[in-house]
Amino acid sequence: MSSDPLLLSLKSWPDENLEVTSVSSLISQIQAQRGHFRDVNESILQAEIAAGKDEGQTDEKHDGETEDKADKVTEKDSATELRNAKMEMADLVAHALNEALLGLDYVSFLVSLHNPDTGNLSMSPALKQSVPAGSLGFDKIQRKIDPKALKDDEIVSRAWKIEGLNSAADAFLAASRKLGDEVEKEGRYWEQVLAIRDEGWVITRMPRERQTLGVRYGFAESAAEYKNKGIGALRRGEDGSVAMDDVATTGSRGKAMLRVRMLENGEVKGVSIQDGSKKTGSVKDVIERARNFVYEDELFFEIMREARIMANQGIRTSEDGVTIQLGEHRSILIDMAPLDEDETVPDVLGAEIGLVQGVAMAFRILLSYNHRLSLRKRSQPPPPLTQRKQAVPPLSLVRPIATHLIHHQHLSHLQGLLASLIGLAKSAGLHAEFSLKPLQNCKQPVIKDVESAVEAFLGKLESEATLVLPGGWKIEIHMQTMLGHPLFGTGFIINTSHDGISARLMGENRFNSVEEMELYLCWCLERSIVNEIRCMGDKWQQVAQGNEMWSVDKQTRRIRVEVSRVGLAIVTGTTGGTDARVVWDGSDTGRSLQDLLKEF
Amino acid sequence: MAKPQHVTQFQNSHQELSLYSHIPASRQPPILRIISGITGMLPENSLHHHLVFKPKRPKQPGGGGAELYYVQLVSKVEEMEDEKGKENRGYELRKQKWKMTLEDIPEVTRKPVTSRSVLSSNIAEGDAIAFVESLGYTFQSAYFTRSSRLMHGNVIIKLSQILLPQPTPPSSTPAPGAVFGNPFPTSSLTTLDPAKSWILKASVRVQSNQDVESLNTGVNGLKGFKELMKGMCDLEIAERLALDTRVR
Repeated sequence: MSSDPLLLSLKSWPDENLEVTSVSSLISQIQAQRGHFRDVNESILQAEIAAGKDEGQTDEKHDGETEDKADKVTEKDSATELRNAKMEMADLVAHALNEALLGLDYVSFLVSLHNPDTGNLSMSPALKQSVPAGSLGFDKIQRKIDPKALKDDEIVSRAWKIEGLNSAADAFLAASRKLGDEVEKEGRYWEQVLAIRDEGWVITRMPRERQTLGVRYGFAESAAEYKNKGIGALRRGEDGSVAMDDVATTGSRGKAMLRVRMLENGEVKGVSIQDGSKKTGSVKDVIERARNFVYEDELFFEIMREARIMANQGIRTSEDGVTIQLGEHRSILIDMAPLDEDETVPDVLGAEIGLVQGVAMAFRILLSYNHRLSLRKRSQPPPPLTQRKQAVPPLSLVRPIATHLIHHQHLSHLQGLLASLIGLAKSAGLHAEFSLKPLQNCKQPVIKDVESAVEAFLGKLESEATLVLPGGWKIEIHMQTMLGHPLFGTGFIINTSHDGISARLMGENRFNSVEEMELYLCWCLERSIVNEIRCMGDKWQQVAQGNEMWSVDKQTRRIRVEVSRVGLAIVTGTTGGTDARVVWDGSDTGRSLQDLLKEF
Repeated sequence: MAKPQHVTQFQNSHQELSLYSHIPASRQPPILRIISGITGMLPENSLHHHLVFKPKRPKQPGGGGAELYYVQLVSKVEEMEDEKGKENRGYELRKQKWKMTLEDIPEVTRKPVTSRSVLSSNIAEGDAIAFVESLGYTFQSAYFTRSSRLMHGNVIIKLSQILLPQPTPPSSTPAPGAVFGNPFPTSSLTTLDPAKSWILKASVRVQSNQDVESLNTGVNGLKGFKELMKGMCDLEIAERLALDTRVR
């Protein structure tokens, strides 16, 4: 037996056709069903029909597979059921069709009275034959109404109407009240938005919420990372007044400002004032504060970005701060810190408050200056497009400030050095002096506009010092600081001139480290004193252009001049005797070099 | 298409992608304000002097030989603010910094923008006019452009107007160099278009016409700007033959 599932069909049962009942097809059918003709006779088939009335059972018997029996029976049953159901459905469909046609006939017949063409079109032929078209009429009928019932009806309907009207009126009143409130709120909202706009803020749509207004307080020339942060939504509050999201100010770093600290030997010597704007809740203040915080945030981001590539110049970065090392003991720390809690400036801010405040202020001015540069660059046509991507260089914030700090540090070191050298010479009763002209190239800049006012303080810094030493020595020191090519730090150009013959290293000398410069200046003082002694009356003669001298009269008597940071020493001695050492360390000993030489 | 002659004389070359729009005189100030707002910068206003030169050599009959092109000398006119600038002597034609440019006819392309190759060379010193004449060109005509330039990313936005110098009266003997035109006094310049309308040109420069990716970047930049300007002005491709720079 074929195991194909029975498919439901809405078509009528197929007619008996010749192809199926023909002998040739019967043979193949019987072969398919039974496999053979052996032992098939009328009596067996009759018995089978009598037993099961279905050919399928012959199969079962033939196969002898008893376990399939139950399944097969139900299958056969469902097939019968299905057939019955289908017939029933066909009946119902025919009935429905009949009803529909009757309805159509009725309506068409009715229509044919006034509109014969339309009616005739859809009338069935049977109806047309049996009755003439347009022979069914219709009319409205008048019903006699009981006056009492009519009265009741009127009363009821009037009451309903009044009730309906009342509820409608209530709804309208409520709606008008609500609208009135809305209008008031909306009016207040727009009034405040206008007030914000009149203050010069730019009102725009929020980028992602097209329905919401926002205020742009960010800076147009900020880096890409900060371009979209400078916008805050202006939402309508409960009472209609403008409420602004504080998103930008409660970001990753919270309400924080750039903090500059000065550390000396691990001790905080100065902290910049962490003072935000007025802490009132008005929207204008919120906007202003948001702008300040986004500026601080961007400033710190750019400082970190720049500082990371300046590790070769003594600038260290950690996750949350930048350190500018100034010499061995001092350093400047830059990080983000929350605002000071109270309004008063505490005393713990330290002695270097001026310096750290200045540095913090300079950073803020420089970011604004960099914004201006960015606008200027953006206004110029870019080079033609190519595949090569141009890297965006970091801003110039840390570099100028570090240059100034390092220059000042070296300048004060130089000043200390010169003062101590002169102290040494003076304590020995010699004449010496120095003058210092700090930051020669930044003085009286030509200020044409905002940019040029800042530009004067960028780039290379130059200071000059003139040192007059004994023995007619004159030393001009030209000190330059630049954190970039070609200096990468501080360089000294020292011009030495004198009227003696006791030194060889004359002319222009360049030093790139403070230590070398220090050694050279000590050497200069040493030789200048040698020269001075030589000029005192030709009693002493220099030995081989060194720092030793012997007496012209008695060559066994020798003196040696030694100068270091701590003191000026004269070592005297005679051949065969012991050396004596006299040291001037800058304090008044009451004894001059001349006295010593006379005694000797 | 045959490359223009004298290619070797030019230092710089780039492909220029552009879209154009006609702006009536009355619409120019608001449009300039709007673009200024979009770009976040103030326009850079300038006046340029253009001298058009034509090759001396006639085109070979029968279509043989290379195409011949007009070339231009362009220089920026420094507008002096004081009254002295109004005098003719204030402007020395041969001391201007000239730039020699050759713009090819726009290529036949299916790109949604006009694309043409532009060759240019800055003439650092010397008499540029004599130099160009020595290359085999003769002076053809002169005009001025007044323009406002803004940048929107890579897109160069230029609102410009063509101005003509005052014609010299035929009776008087022209001063030497008068044929090249003098921009001063600037009030004497008259617009070529009697309606005084402006042209908005949005362009992107691409280094190489072979660089498909950069060309696409440029085209997309222009498309984006066109979309941005929708409702204010319609930026369109220019008619190719209207930008023909070949000598007939």
